[in-house]
Amino acid sequence: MTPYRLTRRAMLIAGTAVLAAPYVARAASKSIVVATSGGALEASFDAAYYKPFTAKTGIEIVKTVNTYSKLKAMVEANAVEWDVAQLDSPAAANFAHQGLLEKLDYGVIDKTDLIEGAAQESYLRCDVAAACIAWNTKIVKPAQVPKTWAELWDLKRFSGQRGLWKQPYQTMELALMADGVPLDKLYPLDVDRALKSLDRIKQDIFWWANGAQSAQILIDGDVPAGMTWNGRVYDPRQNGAPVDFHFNQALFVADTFVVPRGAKNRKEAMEFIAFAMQPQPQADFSKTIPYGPTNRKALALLDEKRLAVLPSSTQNLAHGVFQNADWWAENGAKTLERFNSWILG
Amino acid sequence: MDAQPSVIIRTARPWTQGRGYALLAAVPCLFLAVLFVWPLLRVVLRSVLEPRPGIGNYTKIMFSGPYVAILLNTLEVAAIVTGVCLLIAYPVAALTARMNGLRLRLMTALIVGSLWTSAVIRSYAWMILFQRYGIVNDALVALGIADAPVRILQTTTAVVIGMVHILLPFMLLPLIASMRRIDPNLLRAGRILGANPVRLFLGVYFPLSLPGVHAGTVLVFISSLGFFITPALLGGGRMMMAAMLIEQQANIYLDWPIASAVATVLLAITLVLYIAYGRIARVDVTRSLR
Repeated sequence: MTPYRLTRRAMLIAGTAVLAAPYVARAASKSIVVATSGGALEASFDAAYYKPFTAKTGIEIVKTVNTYSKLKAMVEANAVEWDVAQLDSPAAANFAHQGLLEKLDYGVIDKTDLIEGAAQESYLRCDVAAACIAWNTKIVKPAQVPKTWAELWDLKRFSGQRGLWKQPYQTMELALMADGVPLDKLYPLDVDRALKSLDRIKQDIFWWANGAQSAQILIDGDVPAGMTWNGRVYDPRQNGAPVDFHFNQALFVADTFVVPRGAKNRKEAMEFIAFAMQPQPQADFSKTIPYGPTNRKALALLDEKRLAVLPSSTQNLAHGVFQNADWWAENGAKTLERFNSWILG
Repeated sequence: MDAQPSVIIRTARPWTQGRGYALLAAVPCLFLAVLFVWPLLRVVLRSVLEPRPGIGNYTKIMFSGPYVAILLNTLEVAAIVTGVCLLIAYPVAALTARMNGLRLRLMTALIVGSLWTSAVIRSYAWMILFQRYGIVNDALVALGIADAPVRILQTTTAVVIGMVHILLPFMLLPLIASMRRIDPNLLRAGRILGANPVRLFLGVYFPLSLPGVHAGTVLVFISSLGFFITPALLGGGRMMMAAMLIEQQANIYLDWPIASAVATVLLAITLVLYIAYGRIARVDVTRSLR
């Protein structure tokens, strides 16, 4: 009996060793997991941040998708697979609020040249996009182009549905601007007033569900005008699609870098963020995607033509307002209830 | 079947076919327990333990906010989709059930084949067909049915069409299976006894097809309750189904306790309807066979 048992145990050990080998080998060359929303953004991250970082440090980047609910579940179960995640800023503020993020190490990350509000205790705004007014150039004549949200709300200006995001996020801010609230007086948001403002065009709203759809309905002429993010219509416009946009009264939204609480490679994660936030990688990022850098020195590395299309360039930043992520972290769930009640009311 | 347990008792043999099956079933049962029942239980637990223990989340759902309206919207859409599916599928299934050989195989392939394309892609396809200057509107205007492009997107009609398209196979397959089991001699007997076609259908064929109707409607109705992408893409204002809400709360606003409570309520409604419907349908079938 005994030799037989020993053989089986030996087999088990050998088998385990074979199965574990790839992990041991991988541990030898260090790697960190970076979760993003994928697509064009990840491609730009890869070119501007991942490849140069690996070349410099030898640390490999493993790509994955940043499902928000997964992040919460991983931290709660204390089984965190990601080291760095890209989140939109209200989500980052919300995660920070719930205590699910590591504090960022500003001894390693240099925040001296970052734009105001970019560096927070446990998240860091790494790029700036704009929720802006866009229109179909075949349907909306140059004289009719809405210069403000109030003009977009004006149903006499041109007929047809207005495209808006079926979320209170951002839509509340636009509705308040349309009702005449000055940009610097937006927060705290007056939700009642925002819903009343939306009431005026309720029958004429085309509710879209995601960014791809927001651009598609503009380009196909389902809506003459509406809200979309500059990054969604920039490429189509350059490629000749009948769509245009401007930054007047834009609501600036940001992506952030965060480190989940209990990340296994905390030190390397901080090094990665520190590397990515330097002027040159930040400028390289903004050359491949129309999202602006948050490092002021990166702006100096970009030419005038490029600066004109980036939300965070000095000339464009003056026309809009930053979304207040903290307000949404505290009031998001409540506002969602109000918004959904209004939708079905 | 009944003989097997008695065999086990009498001879006390250590290994029988029955025990073999039980062991085989143990593996998937364990799999389901660990990966389905336990997580589901955690969702239910979260709904009564967070943010503080009690039924706070449920009183909130019942008495405040948009939750009751959203659940009613969900049930309404699911009921319409199920009804339309049944109306379309019944004659198609009756015809298919009478086919044989190559034609039957071709028909089944067509029905099953439509399942190979994902719901997301098919919802996007409807978006393109239904758009203002899309193929459907072009046809309506060219045929003189409409003077100008009509609004199809952002309506409940668009959502129902999209969902019916996706769920039709789940109505067709059980219907066909149950109709093929109907003994043609019973219809022949009815005809000999002087029943006209209407009476033959109402008195014989339809009651005998009820198991299929039952299975199909339950499958389609319950699947409809969980639909998310189709209503999100094709629906407009006044369209907010429970799964869309749960997705928003779980993934964007990170309000898991209330999302868990909504999910639990949806699960409870589904179970109650399933059990109640099962009872009613069983009564119907037994009565019709009497």
